[in-house]
Amino acid sequence: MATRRLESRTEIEDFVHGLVLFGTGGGGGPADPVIERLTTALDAGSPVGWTDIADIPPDAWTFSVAGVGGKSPPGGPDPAVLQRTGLDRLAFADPQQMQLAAARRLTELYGVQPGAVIAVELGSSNTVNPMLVAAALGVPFVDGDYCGRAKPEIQQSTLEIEGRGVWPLVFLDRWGDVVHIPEAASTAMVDRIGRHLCSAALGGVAVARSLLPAGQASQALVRGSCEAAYLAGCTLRHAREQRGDPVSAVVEHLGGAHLFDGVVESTEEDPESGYQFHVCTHHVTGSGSFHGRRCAIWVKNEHHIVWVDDVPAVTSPDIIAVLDRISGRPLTNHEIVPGQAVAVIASPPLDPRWRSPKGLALLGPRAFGFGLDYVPTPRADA
Amino acid sequence: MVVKPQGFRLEASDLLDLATGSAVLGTGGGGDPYIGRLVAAGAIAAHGPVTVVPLSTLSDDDVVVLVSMSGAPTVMVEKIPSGRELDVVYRRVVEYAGREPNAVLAVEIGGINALFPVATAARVGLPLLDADGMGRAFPEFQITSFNVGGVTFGPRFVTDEKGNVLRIEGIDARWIERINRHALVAMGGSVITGLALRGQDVRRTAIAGSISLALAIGRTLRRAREEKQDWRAVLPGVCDALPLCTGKVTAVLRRTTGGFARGHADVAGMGDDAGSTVRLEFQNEHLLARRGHDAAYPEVLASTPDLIAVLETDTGTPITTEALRFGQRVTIVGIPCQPIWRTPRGLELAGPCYFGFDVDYVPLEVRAESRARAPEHHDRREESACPGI
Repeated sequence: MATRRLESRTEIEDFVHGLVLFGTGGGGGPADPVIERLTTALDAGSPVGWTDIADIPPDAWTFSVAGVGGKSPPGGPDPAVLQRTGLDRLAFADPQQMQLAAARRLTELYGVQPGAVIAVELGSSNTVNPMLVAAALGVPFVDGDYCGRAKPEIQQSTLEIEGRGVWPLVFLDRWGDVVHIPEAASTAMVDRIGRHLCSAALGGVAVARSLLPAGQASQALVRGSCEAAYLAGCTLRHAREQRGDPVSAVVEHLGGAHLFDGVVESTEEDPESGYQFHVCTHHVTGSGSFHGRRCAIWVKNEHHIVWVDDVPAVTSPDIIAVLDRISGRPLTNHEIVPGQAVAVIASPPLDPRWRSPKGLALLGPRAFGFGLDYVPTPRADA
Repeated sequence: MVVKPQGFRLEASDLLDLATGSAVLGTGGGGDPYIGRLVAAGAIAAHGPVTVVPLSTLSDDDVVVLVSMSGAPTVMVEKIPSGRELDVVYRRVVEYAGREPNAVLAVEIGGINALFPVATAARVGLPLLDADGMGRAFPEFQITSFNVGGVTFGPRFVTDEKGNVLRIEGIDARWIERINRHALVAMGGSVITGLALRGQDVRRTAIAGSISLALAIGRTLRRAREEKQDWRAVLPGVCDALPLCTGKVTAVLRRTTGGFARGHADVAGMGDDAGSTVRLEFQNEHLLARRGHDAAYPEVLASTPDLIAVLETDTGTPITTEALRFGQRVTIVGIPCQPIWRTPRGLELAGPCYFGFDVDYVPLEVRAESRARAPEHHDRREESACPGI
């Protein structure tokens, strides 16, 4: 819980690496382009940082912006479909511009002044885009988010645990189409509609949602999560600078567990998953003290289940991160490629609500269709 | 003194004729006329009859509300509306328009889509325009006379029986269709939609007289049955219908996919038509009727945008594409489409090429004449000039 301004590229790097760790493989892609964007914004005089929700008037209107949708299928959209739908002009250059436009449309539809922006999740672009949208709107960015990690579906949120709908909301695609949902049967239904809109738009869409006064938003918030990401990133850097092991340093800092060391052998892609989700399984062959052992990680945009020698070792909602074995740099799914030496770590969720029955029903292994019970991060003293 | 035409009252007792005639003009689609009639009858019983007025009564600044079912008719016959959807979309459209509307209009004519606007008109106490946006039913939203006339669309509101509400602001009609279609698949395959148009746009571009025409067709078919006449002899008197084939349904291949009912049905000729089979291709609505035999159908009898309707031979009851089944004794008729669909822009939106058929559009009556003139050339395969096919 803090109000902090990031002042240097190093601080930005710490923050973004921490975001990628809590992004658990997803949350918006590799760190470097995000670090560049934040550094450019800082150099341009844009405020980069966060504000504790207690410093925001309780009646100020907060909302969230995010991207929805997985990667495009191999080869991109079918050219015949593009031609038939007349798609030759993009209305928006990048996701951040889309999210800004969605934010403007949402506040305009409800006739409210933007008061503060809250990230829906922790993850590289998915936290940094709303931060930059807040800067563009000239409003504070809240230290916190609605999950405490990245997750694939809209309803996997502390808002849902607290019984707050995500509507009213606005979806916006890169061609300029807008779909406003003033009311919905459930958050899962909103997510389902959003995925189909990604298919319609032949790519991810932006969402602006969860329009709430700050006083109500704070009840659902995972408060202080931006600061937590920043401190995790600092821990990794300090260990590196002091020639320690960044992996064990961050595991200790988070109160987590070091699950596996090895080399990525292959990634099995689920070909059905284009546009809506990225589903795959990483296979890692053990090395060092894990020599002769195997590890598999199941991914739906983010890491959700780790098996070591076919036994479930940790599952969501706990945080599962894959780090570069040497530098400790957290990796996204795009960077988990054959030959990469990795460490697999886990830590308890930032918000204890995830371990409640409601939290587990939303983000536990059964929510992803696995007939498995939740496996928490093993305790360090166990 | 010129008396301005003031329209007529639509009573509960008219609904059977309206539903029947609408299902004929629905050309296989437009929804199940039984469900449409029940919903309209319920509204009229509760709120009284509806006044049907001509387009000429509209002022430029009037607000016109359009309501319709959208999706796969195969779904709609099982996923019955909760009864609140029409009011939900109406309320949203009024809220968007910012003032009380002046009239209700059907987007298309069909068993549900001509009758739900009647229900809305009754419930909110507004007149129903004697018009629609197609003069028939078409499967996709961009295929309307409004779009041919260059009308720009405001938001389209969409709701379902579960209480989800969407407001779609598409960059054009094609995108409103595309987004609505993907969203309605997420919502279970059928939804209720609403839209506002300006009086001047509607007066300029809507197809006039559609409700009266549907009523006249329904009345003609009912009277033929009551008077034990052959409906095939009297239907051409109201809508230039041309008989294409009388026979029995021998095969139906129908899938509910992508938010549509798609497939084909084969009608084996009987009596004068014995010896050949007509294959009907449909996407909610019938789009193409081809004749042939031995699983080859080289001779086009009729194609979209002309209307292709299937009626039970004995009773003249129209059969929608979701209700087609093996063994039905049917007569296929073709009805010339509204003139706007025969313009270059109309054919671009609704011609056979748009639906992926490698067939040139030739008006139904021209095809019939050339068949009568040169019967020996029947089964020559046509060369087509569809772009990009």
